[in-house]
Amino acid sequence: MAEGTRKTLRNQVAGRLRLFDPDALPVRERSDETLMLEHGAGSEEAFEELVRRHQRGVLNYTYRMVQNRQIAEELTQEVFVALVKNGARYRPTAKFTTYLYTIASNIVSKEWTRRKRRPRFVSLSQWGKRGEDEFNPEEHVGDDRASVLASFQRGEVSEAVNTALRELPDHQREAFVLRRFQDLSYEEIAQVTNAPIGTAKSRVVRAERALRPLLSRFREYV
Amino acid sequence: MHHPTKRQLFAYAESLAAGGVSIPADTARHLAGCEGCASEVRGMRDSLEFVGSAPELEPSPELTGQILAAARSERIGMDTRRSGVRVLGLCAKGLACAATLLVMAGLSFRVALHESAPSTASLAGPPVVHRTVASRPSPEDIRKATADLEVLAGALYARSEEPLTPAAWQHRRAVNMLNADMSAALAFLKHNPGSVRASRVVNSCLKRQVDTMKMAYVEQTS
Repeated sequence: MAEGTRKTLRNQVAGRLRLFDPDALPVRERSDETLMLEHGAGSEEAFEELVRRHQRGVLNYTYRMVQNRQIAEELTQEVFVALVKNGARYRPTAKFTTYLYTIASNIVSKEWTRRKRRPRFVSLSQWGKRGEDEFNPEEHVGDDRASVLASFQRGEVSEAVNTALRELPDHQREAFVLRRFQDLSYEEIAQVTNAPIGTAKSRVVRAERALRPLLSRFREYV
Repeated sequence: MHHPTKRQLFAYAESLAAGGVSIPADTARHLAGCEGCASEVRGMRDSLEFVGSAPELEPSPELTGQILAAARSERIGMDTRRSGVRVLGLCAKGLACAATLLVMAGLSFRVALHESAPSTASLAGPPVVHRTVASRPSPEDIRKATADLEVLAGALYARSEEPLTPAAWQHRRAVNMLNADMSAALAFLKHNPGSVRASRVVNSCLKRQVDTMKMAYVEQTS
């Protein structure tokens, strides 16, 4: 038993040492999984490359989920700090993006829990300034004086999408964002959200169904 | 007429929105003759394309710097916590060595008492006890190895702020493995104070630890 454990340890050390092979691929050409293993073994260069590759994706995911750029940037930072904390324990059992978005999803969930405990922030990047909790875009799109139209006339498609996304239940929004914005497969979405693949597919389909009337009204103004 | 499921229609709409890379032939055939399903797919496709037209957020130039700075400070914090654990480990090692010394000194003293007492057996031939003593490591050996170990550990861990090289990782693993062997031998010695084999294991582990730490020190300083 002890001999087996020691052999495993030796193999792990040897595996990690192989990563430092000077003849290995340049950093930019290495896979995410290799970079993450190197980062776990102490390579800062590998971590920087991971940040360079994925910060945009993580930022957009967190932004669509919390809909506030400043908070999204803070959460993106938290996601990468979590990678540092867990670097030594990382094992490439799944795609790196699945691992990354699982961390991001957990951090977003914590943020939602925090938000429920504190008064809601008012985002400058969101629609109207009054009663945002009760705001329903469908009731306002026909009103020229409504802030929704003013915002839309500025061509803020992104904001329109955000507003529509806000109408969705959390789990549907998450599945839809991972599918449409992060381009994850249904298998990956299922792993990230810890749900069966069928459930992940149903959530995306239902989300689209719920978004369609909102988006079709907005689309008329583009 | 058998209509495709919502999921099948959605998969079809997704592939259309993605540029029609892989369109399911069965669904396409059905849509050609079913206005209801075709209109459903059109609605889905429109909303998917509208969502797809939303521009992505670009990470601010400061974000990368902030992420890397946060990661660096997290890494420093982890190193500080780890060096605290190392200090504890060193203390534990010191205690283990001290316990070994006490055990070995006690054993040697007892053997010396036996040697100094005149007996008829000693006149008849070489006593069995004498051979046992000769093959057992002397307390001086152990004391010397322990002192070397302490000096080396002090020199090595004084440099713990520097990032570990792969070779240093390997050496550290080796020292820890030897430590595990030594702890097992010490535990055995505690219950069987006369065990020559366990004493030898302790002595050889100490020597090998000294050798490994010497190599680590040479590599770290060269």
